[in-house]
Formats: sequence, structure tokens, C-alpha cells
Amino acid sequence: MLSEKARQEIRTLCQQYPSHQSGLLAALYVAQQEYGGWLPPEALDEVATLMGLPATYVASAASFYTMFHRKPVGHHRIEVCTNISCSLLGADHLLAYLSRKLGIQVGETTPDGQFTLLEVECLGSCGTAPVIKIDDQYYENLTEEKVDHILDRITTGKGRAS
Amino acid sequence: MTGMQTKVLLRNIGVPNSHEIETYLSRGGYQALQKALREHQPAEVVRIVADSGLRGRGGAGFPTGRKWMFLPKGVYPRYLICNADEGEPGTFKDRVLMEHDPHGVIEGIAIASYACEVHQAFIYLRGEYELSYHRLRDAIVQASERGFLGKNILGTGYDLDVHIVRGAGSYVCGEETALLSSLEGKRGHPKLKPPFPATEGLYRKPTIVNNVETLFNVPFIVEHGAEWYRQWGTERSPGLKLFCVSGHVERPGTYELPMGTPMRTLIDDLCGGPRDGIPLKAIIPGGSSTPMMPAEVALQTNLDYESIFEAGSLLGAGAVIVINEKTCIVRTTHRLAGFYRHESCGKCIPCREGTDWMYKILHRIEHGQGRTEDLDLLLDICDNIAEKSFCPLGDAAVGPVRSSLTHFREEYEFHVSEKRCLVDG
Amino acid sequence: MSDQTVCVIIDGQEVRCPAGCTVYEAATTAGIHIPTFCHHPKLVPVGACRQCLVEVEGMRGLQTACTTPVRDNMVVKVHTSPAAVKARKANIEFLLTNHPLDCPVCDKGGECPLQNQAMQDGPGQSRYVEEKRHKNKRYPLSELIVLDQERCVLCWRCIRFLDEWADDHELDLFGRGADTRIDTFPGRPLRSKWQGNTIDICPVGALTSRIFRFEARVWELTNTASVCPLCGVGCNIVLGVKNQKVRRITPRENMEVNDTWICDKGRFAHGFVDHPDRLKTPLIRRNGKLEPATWEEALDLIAARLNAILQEDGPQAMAALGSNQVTNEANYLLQRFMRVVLGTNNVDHIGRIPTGATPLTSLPGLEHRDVIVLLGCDPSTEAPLVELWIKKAVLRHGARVLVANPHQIELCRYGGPWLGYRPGGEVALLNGLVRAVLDVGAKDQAARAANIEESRSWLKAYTPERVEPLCGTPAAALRQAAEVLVQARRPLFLVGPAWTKGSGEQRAFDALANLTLLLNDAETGFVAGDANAWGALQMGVAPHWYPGQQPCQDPEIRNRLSSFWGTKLSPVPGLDWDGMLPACAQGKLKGMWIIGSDPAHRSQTAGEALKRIPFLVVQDLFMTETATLAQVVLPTASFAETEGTLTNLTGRLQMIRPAKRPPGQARPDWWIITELARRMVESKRQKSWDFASAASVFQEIAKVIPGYRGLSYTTLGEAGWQPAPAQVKARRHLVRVEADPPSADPNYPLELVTGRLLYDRGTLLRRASRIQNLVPSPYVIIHPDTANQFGIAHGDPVWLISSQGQLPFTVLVSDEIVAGTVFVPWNVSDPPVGMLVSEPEGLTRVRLAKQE
Ligand SMILES: Cc1cc2nc3c(=O)[nH]c(=O)nc-3n(C[C@H](O)[C@H](O)[C@H](O)COP(=O)(O)O)c2cc1C
Ligand code: SF4
Ligand code: FES
Repeated sequence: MLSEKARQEIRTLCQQYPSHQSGLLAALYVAQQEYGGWLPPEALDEVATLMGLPATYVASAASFYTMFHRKPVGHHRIEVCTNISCSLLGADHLLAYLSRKLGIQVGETTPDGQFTLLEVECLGSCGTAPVIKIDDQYYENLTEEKVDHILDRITTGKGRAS
Repeated sequence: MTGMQTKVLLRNIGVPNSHEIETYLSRGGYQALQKALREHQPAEVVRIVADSGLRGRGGAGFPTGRKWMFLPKGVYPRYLICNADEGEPGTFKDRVLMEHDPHGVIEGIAIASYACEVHQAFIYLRGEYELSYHRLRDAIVQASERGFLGKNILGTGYDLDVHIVRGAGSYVCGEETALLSSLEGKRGHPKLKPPFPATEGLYRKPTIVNNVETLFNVPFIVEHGAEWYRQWGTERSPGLKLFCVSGHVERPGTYELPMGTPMRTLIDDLCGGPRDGIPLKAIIPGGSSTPMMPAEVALQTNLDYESIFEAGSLLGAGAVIVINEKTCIVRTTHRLAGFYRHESCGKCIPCREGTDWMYKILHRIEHGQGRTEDLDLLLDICDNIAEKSFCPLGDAAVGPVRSSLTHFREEYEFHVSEKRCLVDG
Repeated sequence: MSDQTVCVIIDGQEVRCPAGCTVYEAATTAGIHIPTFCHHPKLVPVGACRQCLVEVEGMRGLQTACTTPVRDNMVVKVHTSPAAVKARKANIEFLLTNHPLDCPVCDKGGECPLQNQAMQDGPGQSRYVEEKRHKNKRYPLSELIVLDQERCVLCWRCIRFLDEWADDHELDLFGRGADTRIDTFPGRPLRSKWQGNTIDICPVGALTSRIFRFEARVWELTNTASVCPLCGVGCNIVLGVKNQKVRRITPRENMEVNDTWICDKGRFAHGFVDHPDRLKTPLIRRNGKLEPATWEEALDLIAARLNAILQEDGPQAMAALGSNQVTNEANYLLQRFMRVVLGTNNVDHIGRIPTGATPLTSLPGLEHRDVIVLLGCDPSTEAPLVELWIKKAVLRHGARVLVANPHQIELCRYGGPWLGYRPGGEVALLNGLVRAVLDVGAKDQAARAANIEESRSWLKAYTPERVEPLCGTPAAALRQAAEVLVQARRPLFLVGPAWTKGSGEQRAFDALANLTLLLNDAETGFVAGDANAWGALQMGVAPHWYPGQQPCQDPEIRNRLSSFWGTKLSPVPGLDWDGMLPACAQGKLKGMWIIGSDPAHRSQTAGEALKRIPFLVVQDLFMTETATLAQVVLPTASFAETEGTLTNLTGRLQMIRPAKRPPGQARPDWWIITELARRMVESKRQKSWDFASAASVFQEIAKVIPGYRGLSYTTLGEAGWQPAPAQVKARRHLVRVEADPPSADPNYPLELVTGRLLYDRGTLLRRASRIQNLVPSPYVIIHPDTANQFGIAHGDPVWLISSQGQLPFTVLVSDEIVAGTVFVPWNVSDPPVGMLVSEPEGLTRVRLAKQE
């Protein structure tokens, strides 16, 4: 169940727009946050009810966008850009390195539920390639050593690396 | 490194706290807005922008003033959307502006909205751009507190609200009609054109969609005039342009140059030339969808719409991707084909099926299972997608495949006959 | 589209077409075929699939014919443009790359646009050597439909149909790009009663019927044009038969009735036709048991027994019930038999259309009504196609739907307001509306009534606040409804059978006429829920009416028909159903013939009464409860096995046609009645019964009923015949109708409301497999106040108790019902809720008790 605070936030969001339906993506973000990073069917259903939209419609719309997850994700999402500019500068090696280091394949979550490893399209940081995004944060001009350092900081709870 | 750059658009980048309104004001910010509101009728602003010859920086290069003039007379409300979806691989210039000079973006939106008689504007922002979101949101709050947004702006009676809508991971939503769908809370499917957004857009009302950089230019033009702006660039591609360079150069990044500057100036002088001195093979001049050029051809051209078009490609959004000799073209194209397959919305058959098919063939070739006939088949598939698909994403997907096959066919042939890569063996 | 026409040149051919139409439409009128997938003539064009690309001179690139409007002098190239031809070929190739090509096992095979186009324009040989995409196959979307996501070409016609027509957004696209799929919300089946239509409009075999699955290849079917017998709309259908079994039902376009759609009941519930339970031979009661007999034996026995009763007790000791579900021909012959052979007017049918009702004038006309008022009428369950037309009015033109019903119905979703009322409160409710309309309306409203001044005094008692306690309808809702009504330009009042039960026919219609008289251009139409309700009335299976609703009491008419039928007709008034019941009970009726109805199932009283009849003949499809009481049971042909006509709720005459033979010895009704009559008239020298077919019966009907002159099966054709709307004399005067005080009985404090569900366990549907899985288990809906009063909670098992008996139900507590009433769906429980009802049918009062 969405908290009352989240429900209120969604209502307020929707009122901003000339048509309340424009608030759908924003509402889904709120719901995803509340449900621990993904959108189970209950979450979609609740958003639908709250916004007066058919549940099927909401589920369909959510499924169009890659930032809405339909499967549970780990505590931290590691998104590795492997698009052209990053791969020109070694993103594929970086991804393989991360996969080895975490012991999981792309799309999987570590057994302790800490990390989900994802491959994503261009993050818009091609000038500082290769790049990864962990949760809300970009990490740029990466090397394997930098990645080690960043993950250490995160696992030891010291937040962002640089 | 920056000596040769003209620093107009990027004048605030690198200044401490450039995103704060105090910094912006201290450097002459919001003067243009005051001037527009106090000294000009909306139509005059439109005229000035039209005279400047500013062309859309989102990729298609459509003259901005002309677009504004398409708004049907007397139909209200109208909306303005700042297209901040920046999803084309290779582009990151809008992000630089939004993170480091958000007030410049807001001022551009405010003036354009005034010119178009809009009272509600939207920024459709890429979902991934977290920092941009925070900076823009704070900038809107600050600007509203100072009376640059909201009710009765600067006491002139003009009202404007700006909302940020965040995308959620879909490249096609940068296409203006798909953007409208997304902003209306739907799947990001492009819409039929006509009607064009300027006549029937958001909520079926007249709507102007402009790129971040396009709008960012507007305050400068209004403040200094069309003639001032035309001191840079060429007759048909006037003004200044941001170029974002990535790939195999010593100093990738965002650079500001007058239109028409030689490509060589950008690559060699500003970016420090090829990375590690390894000779270049190919340059994609305008973002991943623009046709790849052999490096020696690209380095002979100038950076304006016409020159690059004549040389066989497109200036696009000015995202220059530099590729050196040690890179496999087949592999690079395969990666881009994967991108377009992933981003096809699925609405029309040619794009949905064509991008999937191209990707699968390239995948086979890349993995040593190519057949000779695959190369002509790929070209034929390109033909069958190009200009047949519902929206230009199909054409975009064709760009890298067709151009790489045209210019680097021998690499493909090597892959097919030798079952391995010409470059990395 | 405007009236202007323009000229376009398509492939060198000059085509005149209306300005504003699309290139596709223009080409179609000229007979030039442009292939399409996403386009469907009944859906808004989306231009998505790109199959219809054509070249238009002066326009860059290729254009989609389905979305490009024509301009005068436009030059279009469809088959003469190499670029367009190549693009369309390529598109087919694209589609086939990932299509499973499992045509040999696909139900669509033989009527598949993709197959046809692949034949016509396909590349012949595939250049695709990659692995095909895998998605869900044989994936049930509901009890009724299965989806094959690999066959789907993603035209989203199905989604658009459910959106644009049914307004049931239950299907949508999921994922994107090459991974896009059609699906429902995770774990939620399709519920729309219109889902079957998506099978028809799917251009490939992605959506198929779970009932038709693997029954036949379509080319093995013999197709017969007919009419659906399951409600009063009479949707035009096609019966597909293979090996003497109905395999599927599909719609047939008729713009005056069902457009191109049918509801899922009509489509999927045909299982009863070929059910093993069908009666296959006549049965005669011997030693207390019904045993098989030949037609000779059965008919001889009936003739002998009827003759004996005639001799001993006279014609008035016999009665018959026709049916609003059997053909006009059967009903006509039945009353002719009773009146001509036996000499009695004791003939009626159950569920007769109330006196004063008029048929709806047009179904498509519903689209252009701006306010639709439903009075005790639930089109969604009683006449589904009416719902579809109402939705069209709402979705395309913003019509309002006001609902006066004791409980909320599906059409309340459009905001109503819902005027909940207690049965018996109809007059109070209408008087309240009249009063509120006068209050909120300007002088316009009042000026329409000639006697407005004197009427104001009696209407004083009906302010919304005073009406509320009389009928239970909130005053605010009444006011809101009145606001809508005074602004209505063309309101339509749809009256259902439930509306006249509580207050009586005359008063209910008088009160309604008061209201409509005040409004602008208002019309009232009765929504008959049964397939031949108007027909039964029109054919004269009513004690006071000869065919054509000609009064039996008129001597001139009686003489005319006497000479036509060649016998002297009885002037003795006949018994109606309500009169037959006590006559049975008192032993006055010795013989009775019941065709196509099951009164014993409807009420306890009826069952008890029928047991007292010494000689009961029942003619039906199945061994109904009434049939178990009979001395002789006659097996009859179903709608799929006989020829005849049905009269729908707009009075339209439409033909049903035999698509297969009846099972065993079952025979059409007209044959049975004719054979019996022949046996009885030989001795009596009456004009002969020489009907050789249903058509010859209809020939006589066309002579007897004044408005039907000149009609024949040939003139009815495939589309049927629509009579001119009856001229209703416009009233100018308000008639004083006073409301009853609410009835009360401390032992039975609640009012029982029953109503149909779309899917129930009635005689026919009980024999439709799969449909049965959609019928809910028996429930009673009660108001939260009632729940408190009886100390009952949601989900509790309870007894529902009336003076007639008690039945178990599960309680649903809901504020979607007016306080003081309970709702039980008809034909869901076993024994039936009729157990609680007494006849003559009025209101039934009940109480609740928790089951221990
Ligand atoms: C597939 C596709 C993606 C696009 N993405 C973007 C984008 O991310 N940002 C942008 O400004 N324009 C993008 N465009 C171009 C827009 O459709 C539109 O032309 C532009 O926003 C107009 O602004 P301008 O005239 O200021 O350039 C895209 C177009 C296509 C076909
Ligand atoms: S299921 Fe059929 S109707 Fe629906 S999108 Fe697929 S092909 Fe079209
Ligand atoms: S039929 Fe025209 S695009 Fe599909």
C-alpha cells in the first residue's frame, strides 16, 4: 500500500498539469520509490485508482519506459552505459569487470540484495566516457580502480566516491 | 585549450556557483527578459528571432522564428515545450547547459513563451538527468521568487508557469510528437503529422517544441539583436553552436564555435587531436543517427548544415563521435543497431521489424556467421525502412548501417569471408 | 465529411468521392484494393502499420492511404507506383519474419488477411534466416478468448475496438519495439462482454475463440444468415455449421440493428443447440412416468383428450401459453388453434409487454440522443447492443445517462446521476422529477402543459424533499437529474419491464407522460428483453387481442376474422395469465398447452397451480420444470433448426433460417400445431389447416395484420423489415397521478428486487459450456443500513425469507443499492429465486436471517 504521504504527493503532482493524466510518469516514480525500486502490479493498480485511469492503461504505459522496473531490484542499481562513445573507451570491459566482481550477470541482483547490474543506453555523458550511474549519481571517466573505490565506499556506507 | 573558443553561450560555464541566480544576475542574466517584456510586443520578438536565422539545435535545424510563426492566430491556450530529452548517443550539450547554467535555459523559455503568447511551459527532461532536474527545479523557484516567472512578471502583466516533466527512459520521446504523448501521460508513441504540433499539439492545442540549446540562444539574440548574432556562422547557418565531442580524441567535451568552423579546428586544435596519436578512421558528425563519414572526408568539411550535407552526412545535434583505426566498424554499427532496436516504439511495422532484423544480421556477422548476401540484404532493409516508417526514428536507425556499409564495406566483407574482425583479429 | 464531392485520379482512374474522405476510402469506392492491417472501417485511423503506403504526386515520400485526406485533382498511384509496390511487399516480408507461419493449425486460416496478402504481395521466398522471436502462445485472455502473441501483428485493432466502442480498457500494448505484446493487466482476465468482436477484427489468428478452437476449418462450415434469439435486439448473425452441429456464431452487419458487432452471449452461448439434454422424442406419461412415444401416438392422444374436454367442460376449460421467445409463426398458429379449433380466447404469454408501452423507434438513432434516461432498465444485461449504442452516444457526442433503478447498473459509470428508488416508488419518483423540472426550468417547461396552473396544486406534495421518503431517492439526485433534463435537446426514456411492476402499467406510463410532456422533443421506448416480446403481442397470444393488436371485443373485427378463419369466434373474454392461475387452482382449467416457457421455474405459485391441471402439454427444447409436470411433452426445433420470424425491440421483423436438422424427432412448432389442428378439424369441417411451411404461415399473417400487407419472406430478405414508427398522440395536459404510500410489513421489512445477469443458469445458458464458468455463485446485495439492522456482514451466508419460502445466499454489502431493498440475480440460484415470489406478480417482501 502506498503511504498517505505518497498518495497526497501524487494528487498534488497531478493537479499541476492542465490534464491530470500528465502526472502519470511522476506518479509512477513516487510509487516505485515507495515499493523499493520497482512497480509490482499492486502499485500500478493503486496509481490507476488514484488517478482514475484504467489499470491496464497504467500498466501498459509503465511498461514502455525502461526506468520503471517490473521486477524487484537490489538496494543499489548499477547502470553501465555501453553505447557508442562509452564502448569506444572501454565500457564493455568495464561491464565484464563489474559482472565478475559482483559475481552476477547483467539483469541480476547479488544474493545479498545489494546490487543489481544493468546495461543501459547512452547516459548523455559521452564526453566523460566511460560512465556508470549508481542510483541517482553519475560516475565518469571510469577505470577499474575507480570502480573498486566507488563500490567500496558504497558498501562501507560512506556514500559517493568522489 | 579554450583560447580559440568563442565564449558566448558557454560564458558562465566554469564560473563558481554558475547555477545560482546571484551568479547569473551578476553576469547580466535576465536583462534580455526585461528587455523583451518592456520594449517589445510578442510579434516583435518573433521577428527578431526569425531575422537572426537561428535554426533548431535539436537535430533537424528548422528555422526557429518560422516555426513560431506557424502558430494559428487567435487560438489559445498555447503551450511551449523545452525538449530536454537529449537521448541521441553522442549528445550531452543540453545537460551541460542545464546543470551549469539553468537560469539561461529558464530565461530562454520565458522569452520564447512571451513571444509565442504562452502562459504554461514545460521542460520535458530525460529521466536519467537527476542533477539537471534539481538545478532546474531550484532555478524555477529562485526565478519565481525574483519575479522572473509566475504571475505578473516584472510588473508587466505577463504570467508564465514552468513545469518540469521527467521522462523515464525512452529515446523516441525526444521526437516531438512522441514527447507530446509522453507528456500527456501515455506510452511514448509518435503521433500522426499533420497536424503539426504548432497547430495541434499538447492536449490538441497549438504547441511549440524547441530544443534546450535553441531556447538558450534566444536571450542573446533578443539582447543584442539579429545582426549581432549573424556576425557568426554562414548565411544559411548563422550563429554559434555547441559541439559535443566524444570518442578517440585527447580532450572530449563541449565546445562552442561559430557555425562553419572547419572540423579540423574542432578536432585538432580544440580537442587536442586523435587520442594517443592513433590515426582516425571515421567521424560521426552529428550524433549516432547521422551517417558515418570516413575521417579524411569529415576533416575536410566545415561545421554547418550545408557543408556537412554536401559531404554526405548531417550536422544533426552537433555531436561529433570520433573513431580511430583500431575500432571495428562492424562492431560499432552492431552496437548502434542494438540501440535503435531497443528504442523503436513498436508502433509501425518497418521500424519495429526492420530494426530487429538488422540487429540480428549484424549480430551474426559480428559473431563470424555472416553470409555474402547479408550485405546487400542489409542495404535493402535500410531502403525498406527509410521514409516508410511512422516517425523519423526509422530513418535514424538506417543512418549508421547504410553509411558504414557504404564507406567500410571491406570490413564487413572481411568479417564474412574470414569469420573474424579485420581490426582486433 | 461535407456534401461536396471532389475528383481524384487513382491509378489513372477518375474517382468521385466526398471531400474529406481518405485516399483509402476513395480507392475502395472505385473498387481499387489497398491492403491494410491497422485500418478498420469502424475504427479511428492510426496510420500505424504502413501497409497502405501509396504515392501521391507532389508529396514527398509515400503516404498512408488510410489517413491521407483527398484533395481535388489529387493524383494517387497505388499499383502503378514501383516505390509503393516495393514498400508494401517489403512490409509483408517484415511481418512474416517473425510470424510463426503455423497456418495449418490456425483458426483464422481461410479467412486471414495476412495469409491473403502474403499470397498476393508476399515475396514468395523468405530472406529471413534468423531465429524467430518467442512470445506467449495459447495464452488464455479469459474463459472465452485465447491469444497467440507470436501471430499478433500489433495492429491494435482489438485494443481500439474495446476503447472506442466498448469503453472497456482491458487490453493494451506492453513493452515496446520488437518486444511489444498485447496483454491484459497482469493476472486479470478480459471481462468485457464485447470481447468476442476482437476475434472478428483481428486480421490474423492472434485472437481466437476458445469455443470454436479446433472445431472446424472455416471452409468446412456451411454458413446460414440468421438472427440471435437471446434478447430483444435481434442481432444479425451467421451460424457456421459442420456435421449438423453449430460450431460458431459471428455477426452480420446490419446498420439498423447491431452495426457489425454482437455481444459475447450471442456469440458464445450456442452450446444449448446441440446439447445432449435436448428433447429428441415426444413423451407421454404412462403410469406416472414420462416415456418415449411416436408423434402419431402423442398427437392422437392430445387430440383425443382435448376433444373430450371440449365435450365435457367446453372450450373455456382450456388455455394456452405462447412465448416471447418463439417465432411469430408459432405464436400465431397457437392463438389461431385456441380461437379457431377450440373456440376460446384463453391464450396469453408470460412477460407480456405492458399496456401503454411503445417500441423504441430506432437503435442507431440512440447515438443522437443527448440525454438517455433508463427507467428500471439495464441494457447491459437485458439488451446488450442497446448498451453499445448508448456508449456511442456518450463517447462520441457526450450524451448523459440518467439511471433510475433500485441498484446501480453498469451504465451508472457515466456519472448518472443514479436515482435509486424502492419498487412501488415509481410514480413518486416521476412526480418528484416533474416538480423539480418545473422548479429549475424556466417558463419554457411550464408553458408546454396546457393545464399547468391547476396542476401546480397537486404537484405541491411532490417537492424532492417530500418525495425522498416515498421512494427512497435522494432529493439532491432528483434536482441534479432535473437540471440535466431541462437542458436536454432530445431526451430518450428507455423503460424496462421492471418499471411497471410496482405501480401498475397505467399509472407508471401516465406519470412518465407528464414528465416527457414538459421536455423538449422527448421520446419513450420500451426495451423488451426477450427475443420476440413484441411479436408475441402482435401475433395475438393475448386474451384480449387478435393479431395486429386488434381488440377481441370489437364485433366488426371479430366478424371479419370469423369469416377469414371460417369459424365463428367466441365473444367470451379470455383469461390472462394472472387469471389462469386461480382458475387452475380452482380446478376450472382442465387442459393447458404451454409452448416455450417455464412458469413453474418462475414462481412457487405457478408450479403449484399447474400441478392441478389434469391435462398439461408442454412443448420445449429441454425437460424444464414445467415439462416434468406435463402429461405430454413435445420436442421442438431450436432457432437454429427452423424457419420463422422474430420481432425485435424496434418492431423490426427479421428472419431466422434453419442451419441444421433438429435432433432426433424434434419438429418445428408450426409443424406440431398444424398436425394437431389437422387431427382435430377433420371432424369439424372447419377451414383446412394446409400450412406446408413456415412461409405459408407468414403469408397468412401478412394478410391478417393490417400493417403487414404485402410482406413475405422474400421481401424481408437478409436485413428484415422495419415498420414505420407508431404515431403517438402528443399530450398537452398533465394527468393527476398520486403516488402510493410506501408499503410496509413488519415481518418482511425488505423489498425484493430481481434482475437479469448477462450470464446466468437459465434453461439455455445452463447448457453453454465455459459461459457457465462466468456465472457468479448466488448472492444477495444489501445496503449497509440493512446489514446493520440485521447484524449481517459482507460475505455472510444468510437465508432470504418470504411468505413463500426461504433460500440461502451469500451477502454482498454495498451502498450501490437503495436502502430497504435487496437485490438477487435471476436464474442464478438453484432452486430459483422464483421460489420466493408469489403470483400474480407484484412486489415480493422479504426478511433476512443469518445462517447458523
Ligand atoms: C527519434 C528522435 C529523437 C529525438 N530526440 C530529440 C532530443 O532528445 N532532443 C531534441 O531537442 N530533439 C530531439 N529530436 C528532434 C525533435 O523531434 C524536434 O525536432 C526538436 O525538439 C525541435 O526543436 P528545435 O527546432 O529547437 O531543434 C528527436 C527526433 C527524433 C526523430
Ligand atoms: S491481437 Fe490481432 S487485433 Fe490485436 S493487435 Fe494483434 S493482430 Fe491486431
Ligand atoms: S492501414 Fe494505413 S497505416 Fe495501417
